[in-house]
Amino acid sequence: MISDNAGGLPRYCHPYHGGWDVARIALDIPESRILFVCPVSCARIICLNAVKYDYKDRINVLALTEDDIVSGAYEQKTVEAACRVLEDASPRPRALILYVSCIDAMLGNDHSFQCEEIMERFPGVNCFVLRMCPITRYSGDLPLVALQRDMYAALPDLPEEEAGEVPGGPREREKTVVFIGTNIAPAEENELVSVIKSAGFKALHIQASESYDDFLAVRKASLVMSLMPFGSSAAKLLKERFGIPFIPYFAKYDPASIRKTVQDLCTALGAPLPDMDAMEAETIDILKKTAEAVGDTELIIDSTATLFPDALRETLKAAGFKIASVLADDAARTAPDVDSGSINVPRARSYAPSRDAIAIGMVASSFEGTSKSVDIFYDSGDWGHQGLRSLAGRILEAAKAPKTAEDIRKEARR
Amino acid sequence: MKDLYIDLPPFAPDYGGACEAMYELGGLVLIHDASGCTVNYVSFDEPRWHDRPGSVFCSGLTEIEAVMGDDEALIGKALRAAEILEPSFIAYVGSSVPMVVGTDFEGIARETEERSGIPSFGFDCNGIRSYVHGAGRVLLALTKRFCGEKTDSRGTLVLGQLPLDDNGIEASERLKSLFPDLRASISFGCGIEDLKEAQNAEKIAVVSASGLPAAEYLRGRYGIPFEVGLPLKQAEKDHKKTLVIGEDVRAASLAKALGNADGLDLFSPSGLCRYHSASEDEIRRIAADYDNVVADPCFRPLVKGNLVPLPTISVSGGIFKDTVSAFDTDAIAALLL
Repeated sequence: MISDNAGGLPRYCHPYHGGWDVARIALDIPESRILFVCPVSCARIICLNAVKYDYKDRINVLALTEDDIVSGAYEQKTVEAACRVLEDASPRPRALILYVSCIDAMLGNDHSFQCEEIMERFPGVNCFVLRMCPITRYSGDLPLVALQRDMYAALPDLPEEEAGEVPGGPREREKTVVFIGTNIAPAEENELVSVIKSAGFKALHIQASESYDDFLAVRKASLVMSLMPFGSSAAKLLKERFGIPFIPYFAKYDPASIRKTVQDLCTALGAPLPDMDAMEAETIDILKKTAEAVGDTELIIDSTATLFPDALRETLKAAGFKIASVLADDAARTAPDVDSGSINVPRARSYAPSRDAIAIGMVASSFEGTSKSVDIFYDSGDWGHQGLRSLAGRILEAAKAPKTAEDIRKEARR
Repeated sequence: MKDLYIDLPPFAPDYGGACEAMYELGGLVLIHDASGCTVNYVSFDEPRWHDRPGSVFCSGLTEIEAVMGDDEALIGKALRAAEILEPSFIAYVGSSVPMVVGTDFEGIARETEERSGIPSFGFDCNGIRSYVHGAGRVLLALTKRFCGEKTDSRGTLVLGQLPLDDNGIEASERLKSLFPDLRASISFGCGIEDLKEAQNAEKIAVVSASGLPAAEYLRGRYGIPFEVGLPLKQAEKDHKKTLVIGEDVRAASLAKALGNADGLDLFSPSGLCRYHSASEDEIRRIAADYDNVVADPCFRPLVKGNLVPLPTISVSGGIFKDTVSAFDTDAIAALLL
């Protein structure tokens, strides 16, 4: 009883794990701060994650009351609360995000006048609205797609003196390649980063930056790479607004897709193609050795670990791993490479003694009750060959040091 | 500014308390939301989710269903699930969007019961009120519906024990040991049969304010006396002025056991604590008058004096480890100035 679009049953919800909620993703914008404007319950999970992962000082909440909602009084309260947050903050943030929740979609609010008033009172602060509205997931872009788009939609226009001939575009582009669509910046040793650097470009992911100026610098970038489908709308928006070309590379795990992406990147940057054969051979060798070490222990992959579980399954299977199943909830919408006939939508959660299997992803771990778990969420920042090698290491670690979902949850306590 | 949370996280809401009160009773519980509210509950408000089966689900409310008032989609999901699970009852629990569109949960429950023959309930929670309010309503409704004739008078019935009031299942187990003649603790470690026999208790112990409405009902209908508070051992060590922050009954009980202490209730006053407030500014001002503050670690930014950390799920959702047992007054007193 896991999916609400298969058979009209209620939806089973997994405990949230991984820390990358919509607020933390938005806080990838450097020097930003969030004011949630919502019923108190909507922001609880957000704030507790923030306490757990130590960024609560960047999140505040204006709790709406029933009276506020009925009277509309919260519109002015929002401005007052935002001003209090900005007055008290030291150093003052350069972006203030008014985050609203599902009821905002119902009330049809327009927050533009509030943002304008706040920016008038605090020049130098970019105030804009983001939405945490799971209720709209079937009536527009997926929430995480909309979030990425709205984050980059908040970029101010280029000042007139920096604008070029192409409408919205810069007079001069910087030698920068921007990664979007993901929560975590690619590792320095990732092959995409290596190619970018070898071509004399800077690799920029705002998550790895501490300066709001880097967010603004996105406007002048030479190329955008969307590492996951979540960035597709944002990439189009950046092209429309600032004329930045993009490569819709998605985090796939099969060597052929990785090779094509690296080729596309090299072509776009005029960089020489690295020795992909050697890279591929090394990755396959590592995977095969890991598969041997893991032996007969089966793997279960879930679609919160990666948006491309089928590609991962095929690659791991080819290396000799035994794949028990791929679990996917609402797969048709969130995991684009999944063949719906090949996935398992589980119907009953196991409370039986631990099953001797390795779960890749925490949904599989808790739902199947496995004794071994690889705690990754939407690739956890790993892509391409570097990602596959990193994953191999984590599978081996899970095999050697068994942990259930509950063990991992308890370890995360402060 | 009232309602502005700068340092604190928002506390557990009414739907969390409502679901906790029903978790082990064998009912089919549907939180009527898109998913965020249910994830909130299973992630931070319900430690039993990791430990034992429960039937709390999300209705998967969509924008179009909310706008069109499509109650049939909700009822249909409940009835299909009930065919599989054969629950002892069906309960609908509201959230913020149903509040805005004015969903008639009691009407939906009536229709569900007519069509299924299964006792059904509707609770118009809204994610704004406290968990104590949500749990209190549920316990009262279930007690009214399921308690029959009194045929016995034996043991202590504990009312209002929710894991939300503690910091994990182990702590909740320890609380039960405070009552040697325990008959049942609603709703922790009990089933629907225990609830159906609640009227046969000799006496009732109300251990959080959520148990009060049901206790008053049982006293009114069956004449069962109740006492409010935890039977904690009186602390032996003297200490400076102390403030205990938490749920009304719990905080007042601990303050009394420690001596030279006052309680501050965060959720829903039953009138036991000296103070009631959920405002950061006000709590900061009150706490400034005390040398010691016993409270969840999340209150640290509000406290200038000595903070003795006593995490509770209702505040910090189980993310902090226990440093001292909430029921060991001597151990807590030892940490006071």
